[in-house]
Amino acid sequence: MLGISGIRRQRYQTAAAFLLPAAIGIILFAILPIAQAVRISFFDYSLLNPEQIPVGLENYDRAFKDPVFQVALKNTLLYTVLLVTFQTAAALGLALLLKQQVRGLAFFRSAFFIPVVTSLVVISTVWKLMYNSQGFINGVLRTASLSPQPFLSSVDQALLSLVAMSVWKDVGFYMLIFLAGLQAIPLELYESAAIDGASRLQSFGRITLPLLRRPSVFVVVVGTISAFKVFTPVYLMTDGGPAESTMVIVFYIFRSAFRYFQMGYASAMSVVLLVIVLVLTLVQFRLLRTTVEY
Amino acid sequence: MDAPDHGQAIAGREQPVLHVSGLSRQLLQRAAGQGLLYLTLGGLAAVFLVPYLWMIMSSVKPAVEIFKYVYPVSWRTFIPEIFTLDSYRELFQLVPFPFSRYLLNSVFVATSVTVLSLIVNALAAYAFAKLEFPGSGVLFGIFLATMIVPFEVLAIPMYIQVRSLGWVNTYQALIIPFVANPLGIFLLRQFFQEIPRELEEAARIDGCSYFGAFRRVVLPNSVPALVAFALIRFQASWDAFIWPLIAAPAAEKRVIQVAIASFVTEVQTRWDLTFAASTMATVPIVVIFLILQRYYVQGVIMSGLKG
Repeated sequence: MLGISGIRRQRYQTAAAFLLPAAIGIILFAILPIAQAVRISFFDYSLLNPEQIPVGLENYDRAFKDPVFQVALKNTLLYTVLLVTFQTAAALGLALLLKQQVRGLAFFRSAFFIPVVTSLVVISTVWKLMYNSQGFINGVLRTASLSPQPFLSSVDQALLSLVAMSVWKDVGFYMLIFLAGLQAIPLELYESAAIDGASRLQSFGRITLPLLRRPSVFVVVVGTISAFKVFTPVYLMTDGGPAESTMVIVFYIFRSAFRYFQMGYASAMSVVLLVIVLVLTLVQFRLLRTTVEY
Repeated sequence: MDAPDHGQAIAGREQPVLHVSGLSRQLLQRAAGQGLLYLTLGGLAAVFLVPYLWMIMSSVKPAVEIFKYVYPVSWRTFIPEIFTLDSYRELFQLVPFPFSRYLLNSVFVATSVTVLSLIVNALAAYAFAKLEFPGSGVLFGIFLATMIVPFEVLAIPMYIQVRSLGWVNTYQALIIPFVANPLGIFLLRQFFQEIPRELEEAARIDGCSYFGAFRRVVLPNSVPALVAFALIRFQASWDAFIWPLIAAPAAEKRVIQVAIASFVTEVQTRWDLTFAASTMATVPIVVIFLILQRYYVQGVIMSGLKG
């Protein structure tokens, strides 16, 4: 028979064995690359020339003086603000619509959710053709006697067109989060508010919105982080153009690293992106820590 | 003690029912409201579904017909004049590789990631959920913290690492880095913790090892969580784009997303082929999702609200 300490040792050994594969994976493909990204950012390192020359903060200095990086930061910020605003409002709207004891709820929920499970490559591709001058959207506009629009080929419209497509793709996901949040609100609250003579608008403002705080924070912060990392639509639909009007951070990093092979410079910009995402995550933790009790 | 209040409130609420005209006006308003609600929902559903209809229907038209009926929009925009599977046929005869090659690459990569991910992360989740050991909290915290770092930041060092291993344009470059998954460990640990300790202890007393208890008691009792996680992993791997674009751009190892992207970024986009390829990349996933929707939605909400 095993003694108490023997049983414990056996348990520790089992735990170690069970954790080993995951731990190796996380060390090799998450922890080491993070360290490596920070290290490379202090070097002049091109894939074409394996020599690594230490340059201190030069890559960071260059990033903040680089007009294209500034444009990329500005565009990413604009894209994020627009996307998060529209997508949060639309997701809440859809969730409220579906909360009205709708018949065929499963059908509508699935319809709104299908773009979430469609790959971004397919969606970007199909929307590129929809936005085309001979595409579906211009067909609809002309059928309705409206003037056709240039969409992706216009400096003024390209970024907005990407925002519209992204709202369409992701709104179903955030709608589910709001729907789960709405279903968690006890019905008695609305009943007693109605008894006290509150109008529907009043109960929305005084009950629904405050109790949706947690899902709202989640939707805004997760939406913001994911918007900051936008890449695929830009790569497939606009290539950063026209005239850099859709140049965003991750696309610029990708271009610097894998088209111009400037690994050190691209890593420095990656570290800037990492800092932005870390700050946003901290904000999320802060805001989610306080919970509202019913 | 609040019975009188309650009675009063009910009387107050029923008051309008006493006036017949008020009642019918209310009914009318309700009907109009319902009509408006379904009109809105129907319109919105169309906004979400019409692009799919256009994609699928255009994939079974001859190339010239795709443009012919875009304006004015009518039923002809969708229903083909001549139904043809030519674009699919051409896709499967592409040189140097037929489209089936890219499809199989994707199926192989996504299946491998899903299966390996289930094993590795379920084992780790079990250790965190059921096997108390010193430092468990700290280690779990470190695992979760790596989730915050966006993949886009890791892409460059990972590429350098994969290159030094000689893994560029190999399947392992597309599979191995995505096996260990902190989100999966987190989700499965939550689920495993809910399984009553007694069930597992009974198995242990019957002579099961820890692994035996894990396999015979914990796994069979966690099917919904395992299915949800498998779906999330499969979809993430199927949809992955930036990494395969960097790590495996060569035609023979190309996955379906990179193949579709290459159609669009080439000088001249073949609309017919693009629609057919997009349809093939989308329809299987959407069908799986519709069948397993219950688990999937559960998984999304779990990862959303608790993550």
